Amino acid sequence: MSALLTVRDLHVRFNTGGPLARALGRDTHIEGVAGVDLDIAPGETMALVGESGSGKTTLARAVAGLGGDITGEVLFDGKPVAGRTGGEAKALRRDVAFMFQDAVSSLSPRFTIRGLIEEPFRIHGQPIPEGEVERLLGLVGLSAEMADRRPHELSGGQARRVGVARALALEPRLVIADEPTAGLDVSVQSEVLNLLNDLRERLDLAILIITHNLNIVRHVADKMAIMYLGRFVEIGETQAIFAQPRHPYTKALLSANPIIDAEARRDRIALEGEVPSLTQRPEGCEFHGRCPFARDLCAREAPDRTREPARSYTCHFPLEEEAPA
Amino acid sequence: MTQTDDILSVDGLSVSYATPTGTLRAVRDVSFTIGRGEIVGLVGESGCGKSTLMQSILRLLPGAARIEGGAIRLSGEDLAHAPKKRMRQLLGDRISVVFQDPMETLNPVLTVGRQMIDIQHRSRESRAAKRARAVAMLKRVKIPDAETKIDSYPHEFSGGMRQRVAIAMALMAEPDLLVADEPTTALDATLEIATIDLLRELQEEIGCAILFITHHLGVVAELCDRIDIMYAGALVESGPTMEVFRDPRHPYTQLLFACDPAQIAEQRRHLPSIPGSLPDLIDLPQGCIFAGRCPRAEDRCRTEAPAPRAAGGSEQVRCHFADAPRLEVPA
Repeated sequence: MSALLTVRDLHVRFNTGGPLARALGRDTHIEGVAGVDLDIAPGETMALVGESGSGKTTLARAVAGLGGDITGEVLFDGKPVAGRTGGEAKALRRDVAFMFQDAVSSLSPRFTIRGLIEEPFRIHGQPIPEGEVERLLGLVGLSAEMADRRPHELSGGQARRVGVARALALEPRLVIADEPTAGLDVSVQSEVLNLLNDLRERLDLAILIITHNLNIVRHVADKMAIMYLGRFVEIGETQAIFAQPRHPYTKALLSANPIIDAEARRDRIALEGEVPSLTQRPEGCEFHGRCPFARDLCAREAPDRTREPARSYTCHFPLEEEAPA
Repeated sequence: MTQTDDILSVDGLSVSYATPTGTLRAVRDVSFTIGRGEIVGLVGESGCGKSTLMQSILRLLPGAARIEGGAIRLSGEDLAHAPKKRMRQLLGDRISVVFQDPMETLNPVLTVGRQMIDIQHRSRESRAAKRARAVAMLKRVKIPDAETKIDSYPHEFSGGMRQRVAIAMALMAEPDLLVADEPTTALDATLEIATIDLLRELQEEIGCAILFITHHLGVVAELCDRIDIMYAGALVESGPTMEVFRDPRHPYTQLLFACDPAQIAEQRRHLPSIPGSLPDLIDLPQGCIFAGRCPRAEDRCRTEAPAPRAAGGSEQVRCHFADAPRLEVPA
């Protein structure tokens, strides 16, 4: 299957310094995303996981063509995302839908729900088919009466569903969902995820889902990428990674999952310290300062990417298959 | 455990809000106890009344709320009707709180040290001694370089560190009861685990009881001795954590556990959910509060409210069919 979205060596930079720092000739740039490769095929779900500040949202925004100082290649359907103007830019916004993290504040309080769902059609100059708003509301499991309400009258879960309805209004080919279930109750969380999954099956949607809930990833994602300081430390098939993480950071994240089973807790890797600052990236392997298995080599030399059939990772001393007990 | 060992006992508590459309009965006839040094998890989805319950215990209820009946006792002393002055003595001395967002607890324009010294205003020790206590407390919550960090402002700390500062402040008075309102919800998973481990360690040292409010079931399983599950203002099930997780007796608890992706062993694309929505708390349905969404509901459930009773390993289950076999949850 050919990729719908192709990302090659993507860097997103931010300038953190003011005029004084510039006048003094200091380099005040940080790289929020520092060299990332990614492919998503139609009908595929890719999950981006990592701690706060690892660059997940920055990457997603760059993929959607949303601003920033971007170098590298982002191709959607074989055509670059960057530098599009006029009709081409508009077409991209139709094909790539973004579900924002804060569903309630992504909805204008002055619009009714009907107005909000009709807005994408109006922006793209498309006729609104009779009963389309009701159809979309039904699709996301909201009643037609909702159409005349305003965002403040909705619960968090309902606002989230309106966000899904808006994202799907123009039948996009890629949906980027930034923490689509953060702050939702477990029962509602399942409904939102099931909805996205149903639509993926029906419309052959590609989904890029950003989350730090690994329990969700295990169920809904075909592939996953683990981000640390703007780079993928491990990327590949979800099942392979869950079965045996190679990168210690992946293992630490996977094991940082509160669980009911007291047996499994013993296998936990505790991370020391905090995520290093992007202004002072560590030498060598960027994870060595927090890695329980770090050796001398890790502090000196950055590891190359090791490729296996089901995944790739960057670690000098990858975790091995445990001998069966 | 005898009655006198209970730090907190809530007995038949009902709280309601006056709203333009009628009286909203947010908490109804809730009873539970927390023993000395016990960690109790209070679990429920949004709108189940867990915040109202917490605010009643702390007497921080908004103006529209009213305690309709029941009692809240701290080592036997009634909190529900205690004068304001007495509550102020108790709060920060015998009861402490950690909230969800440490940035709202900490004053952004004062250094952490200043705030940690200020909260010791009841102590007659010298300023230097108070500062030394503050530094020691920061060390106990594993703030690196505490002697220097104490003079930093809250924004100079990372999110996880700020929450640890808030925990340090709450535990400085060595309270009998710590109320923790979703203290790890805003943190990353790695920090969440670290924060829970820290809380458990400190609790063992200080010996305070903790009421831990969360909607994260995994956290309860890791940390709490007992679990109380609320639904739409009622306490539907309570018992020892491991017993309840092993064999939940209320249909709501069973469905809630079944919906948690963490508890589903094999990978599945379609996740279970609880169909329907919360009942109207102004115009309460007759009978069992969960009957409208319960797959097991029969006529009796719609007319007669079940009284709490012991079933399986649980001490309180509000269900007519608490002894029925566990529900099969379809995908």
